[in-house]
Amino acid sequence: MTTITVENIKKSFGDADILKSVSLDIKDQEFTVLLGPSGCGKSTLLRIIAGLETQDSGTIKIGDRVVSHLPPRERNVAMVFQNYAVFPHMTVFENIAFGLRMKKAPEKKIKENVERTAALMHIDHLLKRYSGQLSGGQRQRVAVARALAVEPDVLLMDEPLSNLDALLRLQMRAELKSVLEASKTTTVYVTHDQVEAMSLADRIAVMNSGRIDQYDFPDEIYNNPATEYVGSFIGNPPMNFISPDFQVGTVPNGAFQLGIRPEDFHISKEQRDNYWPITVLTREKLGSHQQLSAELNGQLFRVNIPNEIEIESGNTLYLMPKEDKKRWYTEGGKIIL
Amino acid sequence: MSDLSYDEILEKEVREVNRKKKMWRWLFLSSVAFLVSWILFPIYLLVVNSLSSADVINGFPKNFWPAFDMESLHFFVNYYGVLGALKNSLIAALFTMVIAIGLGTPAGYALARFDFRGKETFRMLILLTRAFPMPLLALPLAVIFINVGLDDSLFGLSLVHTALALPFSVLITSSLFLGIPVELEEAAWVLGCNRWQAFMKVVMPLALPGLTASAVFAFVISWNEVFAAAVLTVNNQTLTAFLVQSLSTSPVEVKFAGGLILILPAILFLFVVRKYLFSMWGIANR
Repeated sequence: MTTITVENIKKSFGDADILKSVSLDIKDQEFTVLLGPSGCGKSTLLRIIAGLETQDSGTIKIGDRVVSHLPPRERNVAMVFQNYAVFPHMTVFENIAFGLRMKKAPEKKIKENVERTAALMHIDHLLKRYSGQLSGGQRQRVAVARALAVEPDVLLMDEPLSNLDALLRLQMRAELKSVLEASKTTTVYVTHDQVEAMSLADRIAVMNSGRIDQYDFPDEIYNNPATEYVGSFIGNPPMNFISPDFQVGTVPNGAFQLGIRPEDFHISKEQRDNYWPITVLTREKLGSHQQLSAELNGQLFRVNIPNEIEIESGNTLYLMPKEDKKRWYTEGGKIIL
Repeated sequence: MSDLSYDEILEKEVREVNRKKKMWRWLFLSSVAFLVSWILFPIYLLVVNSLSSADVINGFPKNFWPAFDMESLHFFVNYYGVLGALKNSLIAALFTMVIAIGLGTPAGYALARFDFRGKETFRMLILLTRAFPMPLLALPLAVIFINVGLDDSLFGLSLVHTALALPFSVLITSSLFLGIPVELEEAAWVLGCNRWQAFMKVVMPLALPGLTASAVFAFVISWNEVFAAAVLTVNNQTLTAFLVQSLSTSPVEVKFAGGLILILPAILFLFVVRKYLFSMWGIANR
């Protein structure tokens, strides 16, 4: 239960600048997700917070304590690894108790904490087993219980769900959310899965090749992407970016591109004023709605339309972007507010 | 074409494929049998002959069934100097084992876990130590040992044997440590361990079976080594050195008995550690 302050962290491996001056202010009890594609530096940042990597420059503070040069064991953090890292030569009980034993906690407290966290993660019936006798999902639970048992100031999770199959991942995601909300531990969570990020996070930091493009609430990230990169990374399908060389209403100064989400169009089958005539290339029925790939003046973009509209490939449809949903971006990809 | 003729063609093809499969299988099995007997037949003869009396060994026709006559073995064990040499061999091999593991384990860990300048060169140099034949090294070593006062000592000999065993200890332990995910260590660090504690509590228990195997391997290398032992020891001869010098003048049945006693530890060792050797060399055996 504490804040994390990341100030101007830089890190490079050889010639590759993995982190280019990253700063983050994570509030007490906040659940922050570091989101980005592989290679963007999100795992490196997490490992620097944990103390498993050393930054080239910059400061990490946990609470008021500068921990930049402390070894992991002195930071009072706990970490959940992608491949679980459950100790194979210890029982589940000893795995969960490991951190407390290292801190020389009294036996009574160890037993209490292990049983409490095991019950929380629904593995209290597995305490005598070894990791070889557990399924992937159960190992994941052991890893989370082991992290929570030490009552850390900060919980760090490195793609903890990515090795689980899709269904189990959904279930664990929901469960993690409620467990972590109850534990009130400040959490930093790394993932490349935007749905995971949107559903878990209090705030999301979207990372792009060693920088944080936007650090904000999930709704803000979705509705007001700070950069073209964020807009095209978040959302499925991503935001459309269209050059305004045709009638799109008033264009602000310096605007290079219009960003508009696929669901933010007025749709008509007949020609109307200010509507764009688009040619439908493909139509995909997705159950709740249909998704069109369409073309206008050689620019490709995607539109979500309700199921009621009957349309075939090759037909023409008329669209107008909703005025309040239009976002404008400069040539450098920054939003114009 | 009728269905019948189609069926016939199919059947013919299946028969042809089966015939080829059978042929390959036969070839495979016979080569396996050949290779196995290549190793086992001499060992079998050694066992049979060391368990037979002198008359049987020198007589004709040869006996292919052990007579369980313990006379030659008994004679060999009671032969003057054998027990002392056996003890020397044990001591030298134990020294070698301890030094090779004591030096090899940290080096293997460093090769597995750290990136340092010249790592690949270091790996090559380790292997290069095996490039110089013992006959080439033995004489200069003997001179050096006499100068520093290590001549005719088991400790000096085990230093030489360590040099022979060390490359294996280093490379075997490094592949052992590579097989233990670094995340396990990192998890231990985050949970409150320093490097040493994490090594002892997490890495060591997981590497122990393999470390044992590599220790026994070092033991056997020293046990089997003849040349350096023969050159560097005079009064404190190991069993191999002793045998080289005394067996050439012994009757044939005692030679057989000596040979059997020499290969026994190696065979026992292979049975004990074969699981780890296989997993080390990437052969699945489960």
